Amino acid sequence: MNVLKLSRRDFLKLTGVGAGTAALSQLGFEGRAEAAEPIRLDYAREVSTVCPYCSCGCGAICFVRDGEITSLEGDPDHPVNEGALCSKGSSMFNLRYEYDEHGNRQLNSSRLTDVLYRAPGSDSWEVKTWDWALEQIAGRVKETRDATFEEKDENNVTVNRTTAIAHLGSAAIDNEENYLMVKMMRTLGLVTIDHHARL
Amino acid sequence: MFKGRVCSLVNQSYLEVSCIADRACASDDLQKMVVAILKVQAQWSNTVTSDIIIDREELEAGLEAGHHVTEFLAPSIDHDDYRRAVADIVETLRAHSPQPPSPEAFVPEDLDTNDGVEKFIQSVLISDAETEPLHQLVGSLALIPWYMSFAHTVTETVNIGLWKSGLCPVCGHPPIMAVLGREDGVRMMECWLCRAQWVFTRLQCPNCNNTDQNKLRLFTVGGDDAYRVHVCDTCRHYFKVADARAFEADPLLALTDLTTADHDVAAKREGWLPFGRSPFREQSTS
Repeated sequence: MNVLKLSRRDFLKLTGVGAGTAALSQLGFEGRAEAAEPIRLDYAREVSTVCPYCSCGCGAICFVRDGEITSLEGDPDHPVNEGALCSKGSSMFNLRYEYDEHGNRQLNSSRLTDVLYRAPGSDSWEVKTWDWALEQIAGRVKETRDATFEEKDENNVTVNRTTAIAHLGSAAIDNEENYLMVKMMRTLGLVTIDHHARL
Repeated sequence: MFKGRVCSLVNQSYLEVSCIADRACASDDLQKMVVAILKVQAQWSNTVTSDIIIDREELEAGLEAGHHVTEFLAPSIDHDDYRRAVADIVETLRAHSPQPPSPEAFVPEDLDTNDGVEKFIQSVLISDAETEPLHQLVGSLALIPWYMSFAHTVTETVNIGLWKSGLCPVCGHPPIMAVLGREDGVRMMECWLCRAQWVFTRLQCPNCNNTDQNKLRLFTVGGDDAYRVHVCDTCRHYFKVADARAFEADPLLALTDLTTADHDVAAKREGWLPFGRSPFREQSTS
């Protein structure tokens, strides 16, 4: 725990001078040492971050103590939000922590920390690695595309498409990134492309 | 709307101050003395006038280029008025001090001459180490009303939100402390001399402008998050900040600085150097 105690030193409580100046001493505000009392100093950091929810990219400041976030607020110096946070952004703290029935803070039990896979017909989740998941996704996209790709429709018009794959996203990235995503999907031949913003 | 401002209510707020903070590091008597001084300053600030001609474009261009306003203009200080202000300050200090020295000990002998006044003012502005501590205290306290009035006039016209430094955009002097705004958490620095307030980025050192968040920390004392000491591992300086969102009213930083003197002691014990200045604490600038 990153708490510095001054118990090994005498912390002088000066009843009049504070840090002490010669001028105040000349006026009769003499400091005197009272009983030594341990004073706790708690170090912390303010760390900036960006809201993950929508593509507005509002800035926030996390108050971090001993490697744990203890509070979060909008960043008043951020040009997008100037300190404000919407209802979703205001709940960013709950990505990490939630509260039990007694109001005690605890880690958010709903937060996913592993890749989970539910096989067809199964009623349970299996933990998988990222490498396995990415291999599966790439393999299944290719397999589906290969199986369903049509160069011409029934009227012999060149279409070069697959209607067996759809893409949904994303409200969490900016226009430039969305442009690239759509470009990639269209390159694969997708025509069913939508956006998940329903704000 | 200008982001920087002079604490425009400060005069009225200081005149209305009646309560003092329950903090053991500054005795009730000392706080009452400071409150009385603040009221004298507020009254004088309402009396003095700033007859200055402002070229807004020139000053704003200067601010953008890193030049504070007093590089172009300066407050006009009437010597007789200044002597009267000094006398009021001395009277107030003596009335509230446990063991005040004689009145002559408060001011230099040549204050009754114009050259003496000029020399006195200059010694205050440059924080001359050769000046007697009591003279420095009195001279500083008496000078504040002129700079407050000057800052008020300037900030009514000039957009000091263009300024990006940790030093004052009006007079170039160090701040006394900063406050996090009640509505938005914006960090507002307040000048020790003219009490202008300006915005300074929260995640940046006001002394060396370091923005590496791995080298910017803060500490609180005794679990009280309302007062923070921000420190920079690059330049090894510290700076105090009060969080106004923790209070029912905006704190008066000239008083809060005194009542958080324990934070200064803690910072110095930790090996941090002070950034900022206050007439009541040891003179220290970046």
